[in-house]
Amino acid sequence: MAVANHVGPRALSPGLPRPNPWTLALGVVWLAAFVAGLAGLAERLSNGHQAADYGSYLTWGLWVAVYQYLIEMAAGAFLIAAAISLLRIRPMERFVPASLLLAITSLLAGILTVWVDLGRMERFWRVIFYPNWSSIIAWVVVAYTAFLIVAAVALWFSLRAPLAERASGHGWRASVAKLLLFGRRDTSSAARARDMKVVRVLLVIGLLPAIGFSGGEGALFGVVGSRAYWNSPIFPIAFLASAIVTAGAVLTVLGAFFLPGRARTNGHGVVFLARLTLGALLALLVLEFAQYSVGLYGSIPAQQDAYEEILQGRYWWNFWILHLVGGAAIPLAIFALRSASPRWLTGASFLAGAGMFSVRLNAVIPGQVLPQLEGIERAFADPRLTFDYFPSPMEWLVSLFVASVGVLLFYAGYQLLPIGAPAEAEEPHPAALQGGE
Amino acid sequence: MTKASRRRFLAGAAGLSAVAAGSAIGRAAPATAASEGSPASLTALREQNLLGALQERASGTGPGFGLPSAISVPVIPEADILPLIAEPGNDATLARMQEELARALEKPIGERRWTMAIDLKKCIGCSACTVACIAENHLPPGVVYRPVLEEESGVYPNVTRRFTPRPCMQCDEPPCVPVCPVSATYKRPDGVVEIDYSKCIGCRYCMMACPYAARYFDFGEHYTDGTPERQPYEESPAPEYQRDWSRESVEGVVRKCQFCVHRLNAGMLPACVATCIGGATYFGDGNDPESLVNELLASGRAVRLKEELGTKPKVFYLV
Repeated sequence: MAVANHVGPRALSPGLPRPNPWTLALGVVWLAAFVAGLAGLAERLSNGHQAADYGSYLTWGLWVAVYQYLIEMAAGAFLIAAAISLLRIRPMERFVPASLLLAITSLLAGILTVWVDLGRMERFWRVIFYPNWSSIIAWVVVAYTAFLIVAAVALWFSLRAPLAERASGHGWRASVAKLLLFGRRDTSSAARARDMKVVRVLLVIGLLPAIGFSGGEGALFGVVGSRAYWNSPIFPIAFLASAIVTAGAVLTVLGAFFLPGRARTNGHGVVFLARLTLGALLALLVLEFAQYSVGLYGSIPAQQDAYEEILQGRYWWNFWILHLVGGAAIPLAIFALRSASPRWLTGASFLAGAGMFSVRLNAVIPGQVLPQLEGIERAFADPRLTFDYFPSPMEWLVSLFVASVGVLLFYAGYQLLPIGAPAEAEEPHPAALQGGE
Repeated sequence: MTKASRRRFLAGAAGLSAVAAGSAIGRAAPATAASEGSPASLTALREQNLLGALQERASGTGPGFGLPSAISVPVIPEADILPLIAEPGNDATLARMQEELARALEKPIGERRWTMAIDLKKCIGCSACTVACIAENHLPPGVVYRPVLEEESGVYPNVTRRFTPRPCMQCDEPPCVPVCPVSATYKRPDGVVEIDYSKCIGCRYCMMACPYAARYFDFGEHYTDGTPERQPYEESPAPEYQRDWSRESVEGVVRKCQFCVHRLNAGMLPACVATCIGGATYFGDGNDPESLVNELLASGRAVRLKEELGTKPKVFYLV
């Protein structure tokens, strides 16, 4: 792998993106999303779940899909940071702090989503203080907590030296840096090397909760014996693959458009991330094929029905058009035809990442549309007792709110912290840039 | 028709039926958990028979039951009430189940095993049990503990319809219990799967795990929403598990059938059993070898829903 070898400190300096029409436009879009999302949140908080379209037979809706998407993004970002750091992929190390920040902020946004989805939001603390250890949800909450602590400490160590450098300057960012340093201002090579060692140890430790809650989210579905589609051991593994795709796609787009030094130094990083993303997508498709083919060819009608519902049922367009065509076939075709172009690969990654949302929807909703008892939806007439579902405007708006909060958290971190600055003092050796170490 | 307009359409009919049934079906005077099973309370239970409870309810003096003051409820003579209790099914059968219930209550709670048997050949699909349950437990829209499934089979002229009431199965191996992240749902010593509404966080994972779709999320809706005035009967507390659950306290939580344990502990059969027109629903103590339900289970006609899952329901169907 070749990479631009003049990585000056100027190119890596953090700071606000230069104000330009695009930045302004993005700011306006964010503000509109946030304000609209607030309206949805107000409806949710004042009238509970009444404006939601799900009911008691199809009871998990859009918010659970959004929650899982964000949780997978967090796990994937951490796994990518760990892979870069542990495998010593030096040209990619500038992505480690960005990955960790993405992991933390997307996890927080995901937790916010599932909090809004609770019927009694004020009782969320019971999961922490009175957990039932036979429930996977209790375990994933433990994993979230451990993950947040480990990721935050790892992020701090990965940024300590750049923060120390920033603290010697002036302005509010320098003040923030001083505050965050806790007096540890050593910027020597030895101190930086120590920091990186600690980061690697933390990333190893964090693998357990990251894999735990990512796979755990899959297991959360996989263990539900009453739903033929979900009750599959392949779900936890498929969730891990989709986690890499989701986070890889976001990091690719961030690297291409937003992270400092994008023009000269991130090009090959973007290519690397895009290839990783599309590789994981390919793996996910293989897993999906295994799951679907076994389910369809098995001679158990209840299982066949579930898969046929996904392929030919009311949400067929979600699987065939959004997931397979938009989120898989087109990105992989781009990869095949333009495998060296950062721009094309960024576009392909974006599509793959967006397509993962349809995968999440596909995991949550079609799995519920088959009645546990035939005719149950006709036994009592009530709008809440049907298998018809399409997210209501309130559900979309709350999802928009959560997404805008996630963006806000990441942007705040990006502004406060020297994201994108390398923790290592020395320039990477060109030889190391070719193939890892 | 949108969901909102369907809701408005249904509100009238369902609300009316809830009022009608609520005025006829009694709720037991609550016994405290501490007194449950004690000899003194059992004596009291015997003295306070079903008739007395119904009279109390009809006169509007029952504790915790708030009938709107504008509605005057006449005191119904005993002669008129008795047919309501006994006539629909079989006098002797109901009396026997009632006696067995009292016998079971003399035992410690851990030695009882509440069991239900539903004779599918007797069920006529009238849904009286469904409505009685809604009235008894003051259920809001979208929450129905005992729907009756209809199934048509055969080819004309040999066609038949089968009705399958579906209460909570009160499984011995309930898949809904281990998935609850806060232990808000658990098996009671008498085998009833209980939900503590004050602990439930409303994550709805238990609803996913239930193979019988027997759990319902309370969206906090009212039948008379969108009408000039929300009616007081919709705000009356739910009596489940012998507690008066205010309307607000059960909004946003998962609810389900609990075999009317508040009635059982007052010496009364579950509302669905007491109101079954065809006498198709039987109830009793599965640990009592001489109970009617045990006789029926030994008839060779008893099957359970989704037996292959190994959930061991305590609701049996006689086919």
